[in-house]
Amino acid sequence: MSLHVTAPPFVSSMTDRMSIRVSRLARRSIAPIVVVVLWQLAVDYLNFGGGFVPSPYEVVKTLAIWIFGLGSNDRFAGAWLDAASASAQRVAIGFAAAAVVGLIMGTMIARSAVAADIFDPILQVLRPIPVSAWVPFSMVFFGIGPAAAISLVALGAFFPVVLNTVAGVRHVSELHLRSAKMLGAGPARSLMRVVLPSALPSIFVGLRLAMGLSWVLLIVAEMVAVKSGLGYELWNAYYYNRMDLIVASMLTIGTLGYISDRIILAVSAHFLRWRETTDI
Amino acid sequence: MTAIAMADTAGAADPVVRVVALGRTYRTENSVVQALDNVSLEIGRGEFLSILGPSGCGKSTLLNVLAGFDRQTSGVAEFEGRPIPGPSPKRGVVFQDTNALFPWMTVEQNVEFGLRSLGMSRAERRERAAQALALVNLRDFASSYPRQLSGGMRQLVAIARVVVMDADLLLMDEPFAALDAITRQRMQRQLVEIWEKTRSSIMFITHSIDEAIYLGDRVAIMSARPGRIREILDVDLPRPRDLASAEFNALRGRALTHLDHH
Repeated sequence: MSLHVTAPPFVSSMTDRMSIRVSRLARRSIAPIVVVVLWQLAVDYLNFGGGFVPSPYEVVKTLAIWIFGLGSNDRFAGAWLDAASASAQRVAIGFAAAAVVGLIMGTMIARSAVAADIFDPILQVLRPIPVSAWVPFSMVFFGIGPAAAISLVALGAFFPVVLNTVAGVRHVSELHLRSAKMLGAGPARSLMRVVLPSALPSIFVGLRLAMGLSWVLLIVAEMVAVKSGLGYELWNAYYYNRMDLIVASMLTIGTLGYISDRIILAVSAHFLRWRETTDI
Repeated sequence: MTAIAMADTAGAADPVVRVVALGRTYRTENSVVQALDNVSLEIGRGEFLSILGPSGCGKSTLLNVLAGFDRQTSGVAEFEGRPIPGPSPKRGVVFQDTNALFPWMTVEQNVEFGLRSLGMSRAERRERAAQALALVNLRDFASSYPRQLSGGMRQLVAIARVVVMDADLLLMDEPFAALDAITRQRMQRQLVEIWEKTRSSIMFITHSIDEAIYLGDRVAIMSARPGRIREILDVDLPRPRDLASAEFNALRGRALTHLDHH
């Protein structure tokens, strides 16, 4: 009786693996470094952007002032943490609300024909409308303020969650459902221990898409409907003609977006550790 | 030897399963398929009954009716003297597909899954699961995930998860069909050992003549379109059985003639 263990790694020794990692990191660093260097040179010597494009050095300096203040009397000096945490909070709340409602509604639609007949037409009508088109109404309903941004994030994140939950729950194997019944599991236990776990890979695909969309909609909403946060800072910087601050905002948003994606991936890797492969 | 003696006497007096004139038809848009036609049989307490037949002979339909996954369109199917209301842990099923375990649970969690419905404490569940895993010699793999096991080992876990429920009847739907020939033989030996320890009744579906005769106290031979029972052979050979023996060969010949008939 032999256990199928994962195949021994092709590269055996620890140091070999380390050196491969390092060389891979070096290779992956080439393109970004080249871009930054060319960008700096183009701004310094070729007047790239005609004064409207900041150099990487200027961006880093602005970002440092924005984050740490550094004794600067710029309007935004030291205000980074407030803006970043305001934005992150809005994404977190909107995303969480969408995830909960999307999961519950998606499960209902997939499990009950009645629920599907009730909710599906509304979803089909609303889905093709870009969520950014809801900006005016989010302001009408919630006024100028965080609630407008949160509602937009929630609406945008809802669709990928609900659709992928429906797909995942519908694809539960008949074999697993029969197994659960034959082992005496009732509907509730079958749902929690069989249907949802088996739908989890698809649900996580939805959550990941939703997180990406959340940041897009947050920035749109903050540019128009909120007087704080990264999107507001970005749009405000445009009025002050501070392109360096705009790039610094873009970098901040990108970094937070990346971190939130990694968090979802880490959570998903934990819950899906029973799977052969995790799609990244 | 005792098993054979039991099978001979138990069949009529106190059957676990009684099937009388069972029929199952499927209606498609422009045809009616008679999957089972006038099937009658009994499974005695502690008996190992093999059902042998070509694909499409309705043997899986018969199993699904007894499991409670499907309903007959005519006739009687009784378990412990009562009609079959639906799936139940009393009638544990081992599927042909080696992916029937829950892949998101460890081997131990898979085996414990059903015990929850029996209202057992956590400690009790662990104890029972450990016993069941010991019975199939897989105790060392309790914390592995199904994907880490070979097909044969997964089928052993699938057996453990129904044996652990103290099922009175095991319904096995070609459980070894997806395995290679060598693994298959080993699994057959192991199944006989498990059955001799648990003493539950088994209905084992197969399309392999050797497997049916090697395992069963009796072999019910089915024919296809419509699905009927052609013949029931008694296998009065001591276990473990020798596939090369003259007696085995004689039974093999008899089974073949009944299969060839149509």
